[in-house]
Amino acid sequence: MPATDHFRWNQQKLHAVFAASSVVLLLAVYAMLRQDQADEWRGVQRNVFTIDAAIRQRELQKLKSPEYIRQLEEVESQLQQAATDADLQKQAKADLFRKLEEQGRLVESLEIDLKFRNSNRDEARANLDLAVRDGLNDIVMSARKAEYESRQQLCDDRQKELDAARVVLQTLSVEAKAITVSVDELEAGRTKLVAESDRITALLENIAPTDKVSAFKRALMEMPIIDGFNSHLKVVQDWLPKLKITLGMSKIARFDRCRSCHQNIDKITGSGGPAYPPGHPETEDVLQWVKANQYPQPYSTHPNTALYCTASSPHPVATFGCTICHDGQGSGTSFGNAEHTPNDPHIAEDWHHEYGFHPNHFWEYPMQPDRFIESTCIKCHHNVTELGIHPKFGASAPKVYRGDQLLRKYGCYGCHEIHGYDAGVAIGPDRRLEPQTEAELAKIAADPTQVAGKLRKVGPSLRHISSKTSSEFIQYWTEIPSRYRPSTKMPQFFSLSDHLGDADRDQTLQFEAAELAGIAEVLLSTSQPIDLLKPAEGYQPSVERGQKLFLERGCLACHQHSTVPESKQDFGPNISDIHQKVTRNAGNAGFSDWLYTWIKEPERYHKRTQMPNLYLDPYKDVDGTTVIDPAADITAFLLAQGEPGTFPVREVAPEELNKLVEVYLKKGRFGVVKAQEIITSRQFPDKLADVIGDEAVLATADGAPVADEAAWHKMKLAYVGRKTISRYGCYACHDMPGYEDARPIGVALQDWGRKDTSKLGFEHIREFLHHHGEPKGSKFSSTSERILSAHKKAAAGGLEAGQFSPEEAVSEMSAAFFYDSLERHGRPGFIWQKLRAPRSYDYEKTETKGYDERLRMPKFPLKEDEIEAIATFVLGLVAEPPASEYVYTPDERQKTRIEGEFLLAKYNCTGCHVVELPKVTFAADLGSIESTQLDAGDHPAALELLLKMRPARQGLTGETKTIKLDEEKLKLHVASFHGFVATRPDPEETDPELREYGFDVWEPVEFGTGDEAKRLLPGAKVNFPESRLISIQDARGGQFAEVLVDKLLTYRYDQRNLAWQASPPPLYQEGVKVQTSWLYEFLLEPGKIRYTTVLRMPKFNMSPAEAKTLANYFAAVDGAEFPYEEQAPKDVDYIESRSAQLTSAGHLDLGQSYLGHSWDLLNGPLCIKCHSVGAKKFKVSDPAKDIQGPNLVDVQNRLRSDWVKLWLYRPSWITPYTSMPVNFPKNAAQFPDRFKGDPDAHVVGVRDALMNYSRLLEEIGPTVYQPPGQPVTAPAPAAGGEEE
Amino acid sequence: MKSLKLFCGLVITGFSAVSILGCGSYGGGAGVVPEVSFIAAGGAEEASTESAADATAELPVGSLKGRVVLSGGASSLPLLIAKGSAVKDAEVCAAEDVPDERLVLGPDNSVANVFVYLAKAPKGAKPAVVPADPFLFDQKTCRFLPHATIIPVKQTVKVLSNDSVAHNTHTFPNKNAPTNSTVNPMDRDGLVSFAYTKAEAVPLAVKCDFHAWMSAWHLPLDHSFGAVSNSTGEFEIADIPAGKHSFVVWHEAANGGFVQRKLEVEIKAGETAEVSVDYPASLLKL
Repeated sequence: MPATDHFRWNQQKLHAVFAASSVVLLLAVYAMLRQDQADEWRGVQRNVFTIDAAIRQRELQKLKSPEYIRQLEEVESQLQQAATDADLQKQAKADLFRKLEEQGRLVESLEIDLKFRNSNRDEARANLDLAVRDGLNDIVMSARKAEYESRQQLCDDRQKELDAARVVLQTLSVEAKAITVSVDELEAGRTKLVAESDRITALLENIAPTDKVSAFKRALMEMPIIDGFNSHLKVVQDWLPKLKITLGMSKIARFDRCRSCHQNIDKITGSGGPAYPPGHPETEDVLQWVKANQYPQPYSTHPNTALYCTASSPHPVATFGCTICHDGQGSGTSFGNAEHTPNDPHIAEDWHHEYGFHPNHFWEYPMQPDRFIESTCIKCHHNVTELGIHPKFGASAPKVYRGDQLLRKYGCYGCHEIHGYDAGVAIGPDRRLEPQTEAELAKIAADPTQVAGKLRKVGPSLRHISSKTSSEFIQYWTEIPSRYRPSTKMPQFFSLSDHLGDADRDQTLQFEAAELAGIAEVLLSTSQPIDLLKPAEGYQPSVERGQKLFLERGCLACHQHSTVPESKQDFGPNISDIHQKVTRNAGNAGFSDWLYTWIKEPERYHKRTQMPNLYLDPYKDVDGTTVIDPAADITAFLLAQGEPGTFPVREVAPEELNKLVEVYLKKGRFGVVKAQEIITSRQFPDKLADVIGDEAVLATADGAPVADEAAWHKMKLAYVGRKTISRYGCYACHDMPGYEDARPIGVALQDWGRKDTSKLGFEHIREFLHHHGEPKGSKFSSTSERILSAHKKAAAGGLEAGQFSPEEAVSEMSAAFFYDSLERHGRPGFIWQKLRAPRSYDYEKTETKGYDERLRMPKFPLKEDEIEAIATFVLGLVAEPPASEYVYTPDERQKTRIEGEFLLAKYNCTGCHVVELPKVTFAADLGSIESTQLDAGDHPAALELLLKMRPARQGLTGETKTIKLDEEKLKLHVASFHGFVATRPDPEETDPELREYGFDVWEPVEFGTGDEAKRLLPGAKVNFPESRLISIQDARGGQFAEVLVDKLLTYRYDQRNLAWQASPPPLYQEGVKVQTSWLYEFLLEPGKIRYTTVLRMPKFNMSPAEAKTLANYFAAVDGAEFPYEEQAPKDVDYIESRSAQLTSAGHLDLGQSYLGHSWDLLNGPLCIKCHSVGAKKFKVSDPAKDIQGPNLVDVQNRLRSDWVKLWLYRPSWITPYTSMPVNFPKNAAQFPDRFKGDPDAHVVGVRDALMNYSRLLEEIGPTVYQPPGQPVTAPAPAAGGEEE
Repeated sequence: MKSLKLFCGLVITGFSAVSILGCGSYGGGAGVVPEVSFIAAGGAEEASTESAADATAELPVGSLKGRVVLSGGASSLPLLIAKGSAVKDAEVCAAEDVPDERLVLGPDNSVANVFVYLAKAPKGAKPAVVPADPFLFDQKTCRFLPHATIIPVKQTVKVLSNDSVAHNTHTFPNKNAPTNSTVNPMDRDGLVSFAYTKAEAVPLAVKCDFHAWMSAWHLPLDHSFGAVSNSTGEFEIADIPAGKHSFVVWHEAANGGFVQRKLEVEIKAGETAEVSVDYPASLLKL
């Protein structure tokens, strides 16, 4: 019997199983589809549509104001009326059009008939003409003439009829047109009125259809499977093939689906603002969000659309995606999968409840928490500078910029190289020491794949330290630097024993005493001799004068000193205490040759010092005889601040020194026994010549034992000292003899942001933080306790509930974040604790480590927010640059600007010079602002030139501010301008009306547009009551200049303008002023320019390449041409054409020399009043008060010709505080016999003479020019032109 | 009522002529001034002051007479430039003795060139009359003439020179547009001319940068309640509305400028108050 299904399977059972599995399968499919439909992103997108519909509805509501409805009704009724009228007038209208048509036809027929009649008349005229020609008789003649006249009459009659008919036609046309036009206009008006409403309605209909068919269609498109066909609910995907991501071992294209939820991230309004402003509404009700116009994530627009996401920004989302900046899993479409990272554990807790959030260890690139969001910027912005300073975007990533600044300030790169290049290709920021030796420099130069580091060691040179200070000070200082100088940036290497047990601590302190003494021994014994400078024999320094010179000569541009507490510069150390530490002269404790030398010629002591040469050369006082040596006076002043310090040092126990020597000898090739033998026998087994390495200091030339115990002690100290220096890498910051080739001791950081966390030595840090971790004096016994407290407070409502002060809310939640990270073995936590207490990772580890194996990282005096900034920078060092087109590559101008900013910071140019003026923002009463008026002396050409060189800025911000005045509220425009504070409200004035701020405006600025605009020109004064002031944004740079101005006003000048002339000038618009080639030379070799200043530009220890960059920088910033070489006024063709121009205008006679006459003007009795000119010296009356202008010989190479012209026209438009007057007012001819007294020609002539100064001095030579018509009371050659 | 007053003020500001029609009857008058002051373009301020004054032109007035006397003793300063000194442009500038005018003492230690003035016009005061003729600010032997003066706001200042060398006249105002222009030798036409458009809180320095020792002091005021002490230290201010006033007493040689920040004086209608202003020598900063 053949086997059948029936036989093999029980068919019934089979059917039952099949039925059941079908049901299960169906349910499974249903469950799957349901699950799929419940994806978070769908819900978000539905909400987005709800929001949009609500917005549209609000817009419609807003649009349909009573006024709008009234207008619409009016138009509708007019249209209705027009239609009714049209109906009523149908017959009349038809009649009109019929008449129009008939009249048209009539005119046409009349025109045709007229043409015929004209032809007939022409025929009659021709016949008459023939009769005249043939001399026919009178009868014929008169008959033909009569015929002609009768035909002409017919023509005339017809013409009259035609004209009349045309007039009628015209009238009818106008009537007809009027009817049509009125209807057309009404239709157009209606369309315009409803266009916006129609548009919004259409949009609304699209997302929330009212039409049932459309609504069904839309609902259908959301159904499973169907939604695969371009539904409105869909995953939004940015495909970024060039922004690869490393997954596992391979790099693959990046897909970002973030916009599936963050749908509005790039949406902006017509005016460029965010279409969905970010906020934190408390309610879940989307309609309330719409009402408040504030949206939570993921519904909001990016908070900075000028920089990110939008198509017009530098980072459009379609090109950059999201994860290149934010990290996270771009392919994830749920909150969890996207790998969001909370900013602190309290937020993590909230997320856990809300989204089931938990940290995912398996995704390498979790999203950056808010606090580190800037760290990814440096993937592409390797310069970092543009993230902190940018002309358009300002400080776009201030935290990572600050981290970089701190890293540079503290010289972290000395130990931890950050190599920004891989085989010559940029991979990230480059922070490395410059080559230390000529050989190293040559090696790098010879290798095209090598790029030299650029940074100097941050500490002072110790090469000649024996001339500077004592062994005691070296030990005292090195042990705990902040004990001597609280503001120091030198980190602490010693006495870091919180992590040690008591016995271990005692032993460590003993060893450290030996190490400190050892370091001092090495430094002093290897210190190289130096020729110190001395003041002239018999010179008596004056402390009092020294104090004034210390202030005036610019020391405070970099240093702080307790005698001038208002000066806050911290580029160099606070030197209030310098009298304690420097070696004073033997036999003259009031003076120190070392300090004198250092002040006068810093590079003599330290070749790579950043301290500039201030040109403190001796000079004669105003009396002309007393010689003043400013460096000596300043030295005396600094030393007079107190007695030399006494510096207690720890005693070195000989047995402890021996133990330490043994530790190091054992580390070498010696066993315990041998090491001890060496120590006790005072004999090293090899002769000096045979020993390499630090052990050489223990060896003697002949291999004999050291006879003298004291000498042996010193040798042991030197040995320990050398070992300590190598272990701690002191040479990372200091130039030290013998350590020129030493390599950085720390781990390189260029890819630390991706460092495998399993390679980080967390050791027993959790245990340590459970018992320790907080500084002495803290209210918490351990970091754990602190964090626990922070959690509790956050859970109890945090800042909002008054649990934290605002500062605490930041610091404690930040600590909680890092602590949490540390517990999870995260990089941020590691670096946080490493910087807080670097040795704490040795907790309970020292028992099993050799003394010399302990952690070496010193403790830097960093605050917790500084640590966070540094962490932000270091975590961004990933050495994973994206495709080259994504790496920020500035154009030449931007590059110059960025490099220039780097140098500006490096040499602290901004210590003295203002580079961006203060910005004043105030509530402006436009009615009371007076536009700057030109007076009779002003040249219109000057204004034109000014506005060409410095186009007027719009001062109105577009915002308004309401000010309360006498109980009335007043809405005023918010306006801003750049300028300096001239007066502040008098503190003793009680009348609010008289409490005013006064400012000097430094730029052309307009308030408003068109005819209403008020225009202020540089030099204008703006005053307003203090209640109108909104903000004064400090100048960038120049704090020293501002302090100096205030100080000079107390004893030297009575006018702020004069004090400014004595201080470092703002480098505002310097780029349009100076020639780059001149600036380049000036930076390398600054000559004296001004006589009014109390100090002069110092000479910086700058390379030619740096000088070139800096010279170009100013031009780049101001949009001026660079590199720039002055040509025009020196050009022969120009001179000839100018000459011809003046000749044709009658200002110059044929044969007269243009430049000759110009030279006369320059040498006339005017410029000499303040300048030395044409080999004639400026006449000094009172050296203390005279205002002597700069040397004119430099103008031709120093200044740009347009700038000189404007300067001559109206100096205060360039520098409002200048003493230089308007010398050639438009209304006052000064020198009538030169260029016919035309002041305009005088300005250009003087400019051209200045630009050809050397040539004229050589060709024409010193000239005396006395203009006619000016009475001379004495036979002086040129008033004031005597030799000094 | 408040808004009505404000409206009155606005009307007055715009159409000063209309103001005579009597906003006062609606409660305007002196009370209007504070409300309109913020609108305050130069012209508007003037207009409102005038209108306010017109409405209360009958206010009783008195005068102030006084003398500034230095106490504690000081002697006149030595010559600034002695005739024949070897200074710049000596043939002109040292043609005569030039006194140091920072402290000019008269008989009995009286002090000249001291400014006595009200910081702002009292409510309802008679408006300042802007002189039609320009103020002539002269220079002779490298010395400004006069040395210290009050100049009504909006009066044209013409800078003259009696010297055959060029000068430059450089003003250092706090509120007004500064002037810094060369003055031609022997310019008797006053080619350099300007006007102060705003009242200053304290006198402003005028200097010549060519001859750094030259200085003068101008005080632009938008009212007439100020005077400068004469060579015998005396000053007089007339037509001050009766009431208590505090005058500013200012002198260039005083440290910080103020001899007295608030000289309280009560002016009685129809009477002349007499004061002796004490100028302690300890204030001098020379």
